Amino acid sequence: MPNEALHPASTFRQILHVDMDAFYVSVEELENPSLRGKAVIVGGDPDRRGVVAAASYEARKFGVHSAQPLHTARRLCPHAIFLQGHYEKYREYSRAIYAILGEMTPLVEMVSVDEAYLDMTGCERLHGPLLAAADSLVRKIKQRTGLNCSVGASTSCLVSKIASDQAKPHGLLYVVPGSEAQFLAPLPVRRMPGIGRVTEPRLRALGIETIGDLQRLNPEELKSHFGRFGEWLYLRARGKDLNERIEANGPQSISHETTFETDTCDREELERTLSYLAQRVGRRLREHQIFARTVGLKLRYADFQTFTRDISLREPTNVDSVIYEHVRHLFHCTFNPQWKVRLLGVRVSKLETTAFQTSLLDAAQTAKISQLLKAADQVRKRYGFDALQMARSLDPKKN
Amino acid sequence: MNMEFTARKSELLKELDLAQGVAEKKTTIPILSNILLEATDSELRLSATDLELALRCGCPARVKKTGASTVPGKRLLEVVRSLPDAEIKFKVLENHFIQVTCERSSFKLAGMAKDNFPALPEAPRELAIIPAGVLTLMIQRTGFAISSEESRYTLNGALLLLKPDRILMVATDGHRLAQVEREVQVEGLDNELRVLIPKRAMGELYRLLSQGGDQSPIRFSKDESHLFFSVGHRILISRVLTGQFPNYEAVIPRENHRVMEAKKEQIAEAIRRVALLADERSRAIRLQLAKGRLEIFSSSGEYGEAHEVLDVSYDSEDMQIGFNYQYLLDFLGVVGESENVRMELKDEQSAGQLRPAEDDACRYRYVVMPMRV
Repeated sequence: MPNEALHPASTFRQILHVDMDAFYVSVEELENPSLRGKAVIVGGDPDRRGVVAAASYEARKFGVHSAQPLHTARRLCPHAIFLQGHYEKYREYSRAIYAILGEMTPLVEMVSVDEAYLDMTGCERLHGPLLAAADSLVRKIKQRTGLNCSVGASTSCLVSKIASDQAKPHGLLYVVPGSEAQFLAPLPVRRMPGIGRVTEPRLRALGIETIGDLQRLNPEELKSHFGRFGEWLYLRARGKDLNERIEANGPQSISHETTFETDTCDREELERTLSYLAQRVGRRLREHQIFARTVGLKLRYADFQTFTRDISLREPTNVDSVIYEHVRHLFHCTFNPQWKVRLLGVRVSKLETTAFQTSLLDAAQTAKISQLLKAADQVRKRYGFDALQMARSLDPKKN
Repeated sequence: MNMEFTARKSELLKELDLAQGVAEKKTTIPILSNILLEATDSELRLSATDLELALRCGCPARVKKTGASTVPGKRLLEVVRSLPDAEIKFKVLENHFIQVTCERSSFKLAGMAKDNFPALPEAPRELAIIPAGVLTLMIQRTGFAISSEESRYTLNGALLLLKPDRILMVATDGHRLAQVEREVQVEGLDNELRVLIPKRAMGELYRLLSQGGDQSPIRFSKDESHLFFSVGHRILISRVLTGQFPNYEAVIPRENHRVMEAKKEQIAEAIRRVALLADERSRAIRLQLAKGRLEIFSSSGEYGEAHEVLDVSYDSEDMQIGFNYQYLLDFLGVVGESENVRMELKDEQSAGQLRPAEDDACRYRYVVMPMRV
């Protein structure tokens, strides 16, 4: 592994997993202190379809958790305060956190707005032993953003992730090198990332409830039950993950998706939505000052059949209309109008952060569009994203 | 029936070399890898084609028996090249074998019947006579900018614009554009004529012209689907490239008021040095301009970075701009006699224009889009 090659002296890696505590809710509380200590759910109007994006610890006491349908959340916790969510704000905080993490090590991988892995291998001289470094990181984040986080520290991403989860809320858990298997043993198998609704019942059928049970099986037995996946289970149960690598290259892709309130096969509405999502994505690209070489579509029908399609561009772009044009093309190639659509997503990847050649033949037009978008972004910064949109994404019936 | 003739090695080799340039290199249609040999009264005619391009040429021969046959081009060329400069005797044997004898060497090459060789179109009435020297220079100064990307079909050739009093050639690959214009009387032309010449035809035409010297003029003609360039006793035939060439006039910058002038050799060498540590994939270098001074930077994640300072003439505001170094070197390599070159810029996102500080007989302009760095 490259990180080890750089530090041949260290016999194991030193990984931190940082997970913000109830991130969206905590940001809301910072912005509006009267919410503190109350059951708060971010996700939108519970009368409409949607899922919980985040819930405060008070709400979680009632069984509310993220990704739960909003109406279920309301049934469990009727007195909760439901918020639309201020995603721009969350991103601002996320960037601030990323900056702090970057002061620890250059190898930071943000896996989402509120979660990151840090490879601290070889940083002892800078920040002291891993545990001390983790402690000072938690304090720094609290001091500079006012937010709490939980940190797991160990020799692998896998164990650190489980450790941060165990440490929640606002805790720090250090798994001493060599004791990974021991640490994992008492935990139910479900706590292991990668073991979910499908694998858990199969393991239970074999009498395996905890990761410790899993550790008692030899690789051949696991392989006979699970094939290649069995080998993976064998290693994971011991806290080893050979494929993990911290990608410090910023975001690998940017995507926006939306679930329709009611499933639809209205082409007009679907295209309108794509246009809106394309603008969302375009704006994020411009915000980060990066350009994308690949545009992708995600299309989920009412029966949960999901299709993704990608197309490569001749020249990297951050222009809404170019993203839309390509995603619409993909949509036309993929969409079956006899089926109702549940979810649409637009995703850009192959993000170009290094130098790239710009195009000559449509340079004048590109320059004009870039100026236009710059102005649009300024308006949006002031009045919100929806203040200004491409006509394509407006609903003629509503306007 | 059985063709038999003798030709001089030096005379034959030149023609074979040109013909082999046009013959098909892939082996999908075997007859296209062959060269058609036709012996008439006092002459040997050679023809080669890959169906996109075709060449007919020839050399003097002492013909004992007239006739025709085809021979694998690559093998024949290698054989003839290896022989001493003497008379080479050709004789067609049974089953299309051809015997090649020269002094004490003898070869028997497996040929194919001439009937399978595609018929080449005949040149219609000539439309214009183009001075060879002018076209050579134009191909040299624009040919490199033609796109090789097959998906950009209309950019796979250069635009040749013939007017009674001037010739213009433009090529672009979508990132840069090279344009050269020359005032010259074009004989036989009373109207404007626009054609797209495919990239390969440009290359072979250039070879043909450099073989024939700058002396003989090019007699140009065309029909519905072919272009004909005849130079002396040789004729190059190309399939036309159809489609709309981009509006090249629209991309020529008009507001590039920041002008830098530098010694051609100096700037070319500096770029070559700095390029050694440029990112290999993007080939990006960064130019930073200040009064009287140009700094060139490069950096590669893997190998390190490079930096060089040049004294130049520059009098505008400080600015910096990124370019693909290869695009700049391509221009500097063919710009011609002028000792100084000029770079005219607007800002870091707009196309820059490069040109010789003093125009020679041709007016040469090169427009390059910057890189985002």
